[in-house]
Amino acid sequence: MTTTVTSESHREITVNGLPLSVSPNHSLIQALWKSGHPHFKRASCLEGVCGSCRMMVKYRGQSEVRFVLACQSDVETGMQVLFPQHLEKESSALLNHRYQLSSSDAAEQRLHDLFPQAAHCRHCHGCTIACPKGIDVEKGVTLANEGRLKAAGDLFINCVMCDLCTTSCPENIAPNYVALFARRTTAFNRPLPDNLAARLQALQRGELTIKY
Amino acid sequence: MGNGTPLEQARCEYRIDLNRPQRTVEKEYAALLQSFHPDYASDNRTPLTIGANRHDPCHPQLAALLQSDSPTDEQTLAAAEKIETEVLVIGAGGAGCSAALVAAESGADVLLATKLRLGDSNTIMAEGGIQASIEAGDTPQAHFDETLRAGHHCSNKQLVKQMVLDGPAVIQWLIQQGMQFDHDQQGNLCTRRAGGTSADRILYYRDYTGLEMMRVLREAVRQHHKINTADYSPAVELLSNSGGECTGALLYSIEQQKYCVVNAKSVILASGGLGRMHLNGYPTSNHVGATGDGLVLAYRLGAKLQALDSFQYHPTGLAWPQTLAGTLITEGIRSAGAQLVNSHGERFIDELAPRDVVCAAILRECSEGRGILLASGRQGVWLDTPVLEQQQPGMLAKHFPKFISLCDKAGIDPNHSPLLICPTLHYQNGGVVINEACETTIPGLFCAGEVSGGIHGKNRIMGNALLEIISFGRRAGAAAAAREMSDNTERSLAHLERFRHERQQHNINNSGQQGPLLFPHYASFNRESA
Repeated sequence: MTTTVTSESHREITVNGLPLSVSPNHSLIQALWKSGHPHFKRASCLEGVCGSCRMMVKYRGQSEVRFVLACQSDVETGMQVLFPQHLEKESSALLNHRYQLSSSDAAEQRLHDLFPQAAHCRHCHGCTIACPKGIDVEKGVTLANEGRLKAAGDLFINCVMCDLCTTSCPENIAPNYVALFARRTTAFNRPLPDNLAARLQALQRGELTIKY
Repeated sequence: MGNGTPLEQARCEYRIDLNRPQRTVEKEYAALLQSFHPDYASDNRTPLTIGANRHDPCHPQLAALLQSDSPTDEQTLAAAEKIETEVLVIGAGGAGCSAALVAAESGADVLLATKLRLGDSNTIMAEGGIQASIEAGDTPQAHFDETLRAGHHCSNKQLVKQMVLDGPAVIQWLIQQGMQFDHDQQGNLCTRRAGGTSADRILYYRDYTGLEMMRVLREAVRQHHKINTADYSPAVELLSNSGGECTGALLYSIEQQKYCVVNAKSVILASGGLGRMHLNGYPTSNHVGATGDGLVLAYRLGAKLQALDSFQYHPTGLAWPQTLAGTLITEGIRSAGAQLVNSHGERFIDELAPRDVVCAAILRECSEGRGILLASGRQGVWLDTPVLEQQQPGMLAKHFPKFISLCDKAGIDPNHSPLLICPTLHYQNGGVVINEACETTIPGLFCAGEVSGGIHGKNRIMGNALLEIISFGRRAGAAAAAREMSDNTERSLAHLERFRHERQQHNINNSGQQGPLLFPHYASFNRESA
């Protein structure tokens, strides 16, 4: 038989300052559920792709506070956990860009018009440090400012839109939305792929039917 | 149950082998499914006693929920705040968002209400890709035939035909929303093959197809001036008029802890599936909100459902470590060349057979002593990724970033070690009966996505879920926006009275269970003290 950590042992953590004894071999979200701690709202996919379960964590023996996705974080004794309660409201207050995608050549200018704050980046690395997915967010902003939209967008393949970079920016830049604009514009302006175009035309000509 | 090989021992015995023997090759799968697939076990089926599907077979856990009482009464309704919209969309995954976008484009005022946040859904977790027949060697007819065959010929052919023919236009629409797909060097869309199919028909963006789709649709919805969104606002009851039409819904705001009546000329239910009911105690690949709410609401309103005893257990859910049990490993990895291997080092099934067959084959290995045993008593088999990496070095890192990040999290190096997997509850094959315009049997109520039924028969193939949600989501949005407002704008719980009367007549009490569930029991959600 295999050996595992015995289930009798527990991990002592604090959650919003309150001590909590939780089962090991669990993610932070699972541990909170198991200990009866109501935390049903800020969790969804449990796979680290929805960006819902953002928490601030300080590990024992480490001096800095980090942002993590709680579904992707194991519980450790001495862990201090804080729920950043107002992130959503704060980030939505920062979001006032409105656009429809269009096939204009002036995408770079549109980016500056939609996100005028992006040009004010003070290169403090706050956004990059805040990113739980390890994206070089600040570099993405720099590339976008230089008009290199595809390169900027490509840095954000792993982005889960958790908005932590947006709430961390002292200049109120919304880096993940800048990158999303860059990504969407890139996709929109790409020529229609040949294999797709050929099939759409064949369907239009009524050449392909389904019989049963 | 047979005895498997303990995990540590199996790990020591594992060797990379490019010429692994295939134990047996089945000519037909019926006996395998009959003996080992959970759907075919007789205790996983019970007749419903009330409602539009009375006497129809249903999974017992779902039957108890469908026939459960509602905590809602007339007083709740009377005290609730009232708001108006033209189209109410319930659920904000891929189907809900595409429905909302098209309804709004058609000129309707839309309220998009969701239990969690805009985009929190199973869509965002979809990895493998989306099916659309676009390659020269492939035809819509083949896509149609293979969808039907994998579903054991239980699909509504008209719905499948419409979806398949929609495929290429769905991809074009997604690109117009700003969604990226992987391209080859000539600028063609990349394609790969799904289990149970004969042609390369899966389009994808890395193994983040759903995430990319949801990022884009979420932003498009947020940008649209005719769409209002309500987060943390699950629907807890639908509303009807005396003519039997659906006229709106009762929402519960988790944040404000109060109810709200929404009056709408059309309601689109796009609330997804039920993996978090953990049928038969299975782990699930589904998101936290997948608790079957839509089926419960529609059934109480009198809507006809179908195939309530048919579920997809995805063959490759991660079995170890326990923290991540149930997490999906995309079929794309088997499509690329990873193999399924038992504790004897044998392959035991065509890895790209239909999902229900592969699932049954894995369960057979486990029950006949060729599985790998965990301390918890659960069993699994190996997903042999090292063999893929040997044959195509760099393939995993390049095409499967989500998988690599899962392996990092699990502390497994997939280039050198196989992963222990077992089936995970993945998808509800049946659902609410719809026609080509996504209308249900209740006027005013439309359905799109996993909550609806009829498309996948008794087994879905990879990539047809993402196609379905956009194909039918867009159609539901258009049809709901075009519907004429009924003269009778009454919003009542008359249907609930009828439902309760039926419960009483048939002595249904199921120990006080109430529905919809909204959250799995372990999330400790309580409507009154949220």
